[in-house]
Amino acid sequence: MSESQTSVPDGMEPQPVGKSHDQWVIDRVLAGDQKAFELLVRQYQGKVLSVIARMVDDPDKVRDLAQETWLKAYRALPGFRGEAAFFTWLFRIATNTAKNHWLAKGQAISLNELEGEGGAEYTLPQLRDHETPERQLLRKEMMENLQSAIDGLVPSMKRAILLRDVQGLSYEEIAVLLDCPIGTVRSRIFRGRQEIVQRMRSYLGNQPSARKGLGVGRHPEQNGGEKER
Amino acid sequence: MTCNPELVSAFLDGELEPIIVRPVVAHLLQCDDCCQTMGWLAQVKENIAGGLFWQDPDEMTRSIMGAIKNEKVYAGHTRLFDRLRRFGVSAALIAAVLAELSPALLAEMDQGLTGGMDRPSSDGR
Repeated sequence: MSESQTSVPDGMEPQPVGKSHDQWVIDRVLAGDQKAFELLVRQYQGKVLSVIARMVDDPDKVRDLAQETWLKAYRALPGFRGEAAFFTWLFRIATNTAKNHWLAKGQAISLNELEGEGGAEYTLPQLRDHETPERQLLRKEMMENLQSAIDGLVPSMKRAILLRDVQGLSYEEIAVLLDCPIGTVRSRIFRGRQEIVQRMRSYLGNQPSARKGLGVGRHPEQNGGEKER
Repeated sequence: MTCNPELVSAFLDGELEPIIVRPVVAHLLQCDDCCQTMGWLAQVKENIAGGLFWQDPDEMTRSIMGAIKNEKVYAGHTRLFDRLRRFGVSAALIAAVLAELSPALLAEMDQGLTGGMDRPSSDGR
């Protein structure tokens, strides 16, 4: 079993121990390659937003605090010694940034509030009642489409993806559970994600002018993609 | 190395063979398409895991990297000020030490110059 399945705060993915993939990228950043930092941003910006959104309601403020988190991370990266996983380090910066936001407003928030969510069950995030009705509707539509895209996957792909992205199992563990080679697991996970990206693309900003409003996206069934069996 | 989004997906999961990590990173650094693919895959991965939906990850990345670029310029200025400040502090410390020691040093130098010679007495004898 993976060494990384022990308790980690919700939103933090278990990281394999050993030479980290992130460390290769971090080394490039420290050597002066700013593009390498962009790789880290692309990889983890969603997680950072999720962490902050648990502590802050206002979407615009979430965005500002996420940007502040990345700036702090960029400044502090030379001090990152790789003793913990990169996201563990980044998670701490993000939570401190959000906490400072509340402290500046004269309120405090505890870490328990961050760690109370999540679990082994696969559940989509709840709607946030602070949002405008339009945003709530869009978010609801996105969640339904994501659920539909996941449900529409070939069962072997769906199992592989949920075991990886929800349960946090390693490819090796998934290969044992599904009784197939690791290469097959890798391929199923990639193709499953790719299919979901295709179905969700209109929601994820690829067609910004078409998707800023509501009700103009195609339902997954309308995409007409042939499913593998 | 040619584009291989399957490897990009495995990179996101930290599941690449150690021998191939370096070429994949090198490829990602020079291939905007694969870099963008990684952003999409990361977003979907996060959504599946129950994370926040964010409509435009590309725009968010651009915004963060824009701020980082400004930060880089700012960091350059900061480094210059840091250096000046550091030198300024050093110079002030040296000056203070010299000021403290100078009466004693001057006296010693004075003694050195006149060493061995009998000073004339105040009455001229």
